[in-house]
Amino acid sequence: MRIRKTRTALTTIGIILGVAVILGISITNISTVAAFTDMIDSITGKSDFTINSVSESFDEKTLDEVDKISGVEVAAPGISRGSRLTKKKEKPDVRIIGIDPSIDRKVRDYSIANGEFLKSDEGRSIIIVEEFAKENKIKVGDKLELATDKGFSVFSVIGLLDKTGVGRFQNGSAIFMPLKTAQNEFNLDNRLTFIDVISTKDDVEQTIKKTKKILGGNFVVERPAKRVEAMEESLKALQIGLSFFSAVALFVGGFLIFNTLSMVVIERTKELGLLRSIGASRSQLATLILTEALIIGFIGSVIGLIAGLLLARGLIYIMSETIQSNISTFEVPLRGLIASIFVGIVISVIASLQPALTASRIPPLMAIRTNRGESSSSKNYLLLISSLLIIVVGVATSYRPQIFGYLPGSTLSQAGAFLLLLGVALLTPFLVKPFSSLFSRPFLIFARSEGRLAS
Amino acid sequence: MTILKATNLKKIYGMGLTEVTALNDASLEVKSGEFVAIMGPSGSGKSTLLHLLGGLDVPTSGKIDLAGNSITDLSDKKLTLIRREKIGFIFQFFNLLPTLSVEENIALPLVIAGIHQSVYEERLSKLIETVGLTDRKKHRPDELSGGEQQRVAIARAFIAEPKIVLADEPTGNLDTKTGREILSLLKDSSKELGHTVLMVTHEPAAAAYSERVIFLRDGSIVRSLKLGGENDTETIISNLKELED
Repeated sequence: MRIRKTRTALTTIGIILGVAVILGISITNISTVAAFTDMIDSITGKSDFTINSVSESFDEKTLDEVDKISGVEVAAPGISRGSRLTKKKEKPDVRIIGIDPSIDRKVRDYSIANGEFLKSDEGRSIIIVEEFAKENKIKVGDKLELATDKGFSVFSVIGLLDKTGVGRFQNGSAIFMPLKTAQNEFNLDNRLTFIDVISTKDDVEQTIKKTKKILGGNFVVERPAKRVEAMEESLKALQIGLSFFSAVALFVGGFLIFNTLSMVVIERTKELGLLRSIGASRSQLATLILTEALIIGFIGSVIGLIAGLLLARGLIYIMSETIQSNISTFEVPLRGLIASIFVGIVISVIASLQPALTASRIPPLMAIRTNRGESSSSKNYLLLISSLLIIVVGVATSYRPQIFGYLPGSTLSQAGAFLLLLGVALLTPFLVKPFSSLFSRPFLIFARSEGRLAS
Repeated sequence: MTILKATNLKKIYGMGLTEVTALNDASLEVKSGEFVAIMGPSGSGKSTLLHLLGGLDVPTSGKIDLAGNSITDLSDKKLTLIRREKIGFIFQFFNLLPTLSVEENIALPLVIAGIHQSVYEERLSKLIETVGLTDRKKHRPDELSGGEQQRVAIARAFIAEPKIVLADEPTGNLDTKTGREILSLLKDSSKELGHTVLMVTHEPAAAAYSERVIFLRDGSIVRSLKLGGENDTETIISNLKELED
């Protein structure tokens, strides 16, 4: 390994990539879902279901309709809009939540750490989260300038919230203001963007059904958990794509290990023969090659873990942008950690089995002779048939995933593409000779010696 | 006491039309502590005989007894143990491991046998001193001359205290002066350590360092010549000429 530094490094990179992607995806998925669940929990509070419009906003008369539905105990209206603090140096992004103070405390937990809660649904008072206030050097009584659809508007901070309950929403960067004020500032007079509903406990599903029926198809009525499920579902597609990439990276890594170690065995036939001649057993030679693979696999996996953590940071950042919410959670799953190390090492060992077997079969006489025996043609024949079969299955799975019935099509297509790749890789040794003789002909005409060497 | 006995050894390579008889009905005996040379024209079966005696290859027929053990009908595992414990090898091209230092190369057979360094440390330094490489023990093979590399190979062959050391053209890749030094070392070390040495060579001057020369022709042992006279080299040359005629 010391001598073949570049080749060993490239081989290790394959394993690093594979392990990093597996871990990266695992962390990103878990952190995103956890952050999303927390976000949903924090803002939906005690509500049983939420009403949103398929369009950006809806008429506030809908609230009266909802209030009248039997089974609806509390219906809390609100609007949600993005903004920023314009006078602060970093101009931090914030989310403005317009609420009706008289109703909202029934739905959400507001824990006031300092100052007071909003008094009416009008006026230019706001409450913010204490931690956010500290970060931006804001205290009760300060005036804050916010960017709204009216331009830049000034508000008074009258209270600070603990970072619990709604204080956790958007990682504490939410600003709560009276509903009427928010409607006015964002040109949403008499409009709402959501209604959170507490239903009579025994009858939630029934109430949701009734609400859906009454409001019609322009509204989305769903439990908060449904939104988490939808998020998980949309993450699945990303996960499958990245898993495929990770599988390809590991496959390439494994192939590189196989190739490197096969070359090592060929290059060191004489050395391995010498070891046999001075008393090394077949298993000792096999162990030598397997150990080399284990070292590559272990180093690759450990670096892969570090790279995976960094990759997860990047992916979480991208994910935060995609779902337009700050993902502050960074959960490193123990299962993911073990799985990625395990996969990295196992792939390395599997890839080294054939070279290790070849090494163990080197006769002691190879210490003196350097020519290597060709593998038997029956084995080649078997490999040829296997590779062709893998290609056929790969093509069938890629283009006609429905033949496998109930399994998800996208997963099968990717598995098919992977099999195709594997089949072609296994077929390559059989293609090298005919292709080289075909393509070396022009060279033989113009450069006879060099052409022969190339072929 | 006989340490090595080969009876009616036959080795045939290939099959049918490509069949080649490399060794035909060769029988020999080597006594403990003896330094024996094997000579013969090219293709006479010298190296084949050495490989069979060293358990590197198996004969088509015949029997080999080494230190009381028959090595012709052993499993690969047992034959490996025989090579590890009872045989030392010296090759023409030294066959040292390039990534290991001088002392690591010498200790290799013991490392393979799983013996702890503390057990052989003293023996190793003594042997390194015997072959005159104390100053070079931390060097790698590519930092050594051909003669020095062969000294390492000799020490490696002796380190496990084998019953017999087999040398295949040990001076074939060295200049005359270094070759002589190596042969003296081989002879002195074998005497000092009490080992039996069987050496294949095509050089009469090299064979003259031995106590007995076995001559091979067309795969058969045709003559055994005791040495110890004044004109050993000339005697060997005249014997070889007779064989070639």
